[in-house]
Amino acid sequence: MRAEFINPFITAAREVLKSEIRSEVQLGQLTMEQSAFQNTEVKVMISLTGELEGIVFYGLDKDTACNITSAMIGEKVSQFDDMVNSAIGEMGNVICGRAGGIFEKVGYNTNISTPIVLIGQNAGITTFNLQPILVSLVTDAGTIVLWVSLRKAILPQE
Amino acid sequence: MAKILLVDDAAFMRMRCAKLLTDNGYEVDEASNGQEGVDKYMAIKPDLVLMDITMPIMDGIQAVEEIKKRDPEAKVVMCSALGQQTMVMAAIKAGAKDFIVKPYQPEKILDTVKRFVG
Repeated sequence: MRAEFINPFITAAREVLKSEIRSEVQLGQLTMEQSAFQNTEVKVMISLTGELEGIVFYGLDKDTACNITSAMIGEKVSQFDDMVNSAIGEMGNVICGRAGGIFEKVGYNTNISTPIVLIGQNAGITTFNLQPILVSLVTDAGTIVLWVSLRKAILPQE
Repeated sequence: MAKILLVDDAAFMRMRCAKLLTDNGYEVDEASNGQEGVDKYMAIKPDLVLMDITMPIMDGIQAVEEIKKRDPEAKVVMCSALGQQTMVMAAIKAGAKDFIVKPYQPEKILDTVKRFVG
């Protein structure tokens, strides 16, 4: 995967998290190592289609998900429930949507799926010939591990 | 009291917007996908619809088209994470009156609602 494909998600995550939870984001190293992601308890999955295709995950722990939701609504949330589930799905959706706007400016039209939230650690994820790039986004609410596997789509000639 | 229909598949977004709008004196009803949004629109005839785009069963663009077919005077404002120009144009072409790009900004939502229904 081209490393430049992850940058719009980092930019979007910074903007969205600043707006939603009023936190700056410190970046970890870009890596292809998946263990930090696999250890997270909750994974939000969103597919991209269009002129770029692939998949984006956000991995985080339940406590981080609760902290993010608390910051989003301005009330303490301590139980990982359906509302937290929906909140972090929406956070992933908004980050991907905003990244889509950045991709459009550099010539790629994309669309996104509705988010899917997976609960459970140590899920093995294989994207076959689509190598992921991962980066940790460290926020005041906790760490989110961003996984991006994208490539230029081969679209039929009109 | 103006009646607002929120159409969004994310329960969290509906909860947040519904609280904002009811706290500001609006009556709110909700739908969780485009088809339900069209059905609810016809049942309650709201003064304004706030409509997400990426939703299961029927997406927001198609839902606006369906609502406008049934009621050409319907006022629908898109409220979506998809802020691409192509998406905004598709929404306007379908009949949407305005487009709010997420993330959630309460002032922007209230300003827009006030502009259309007072």
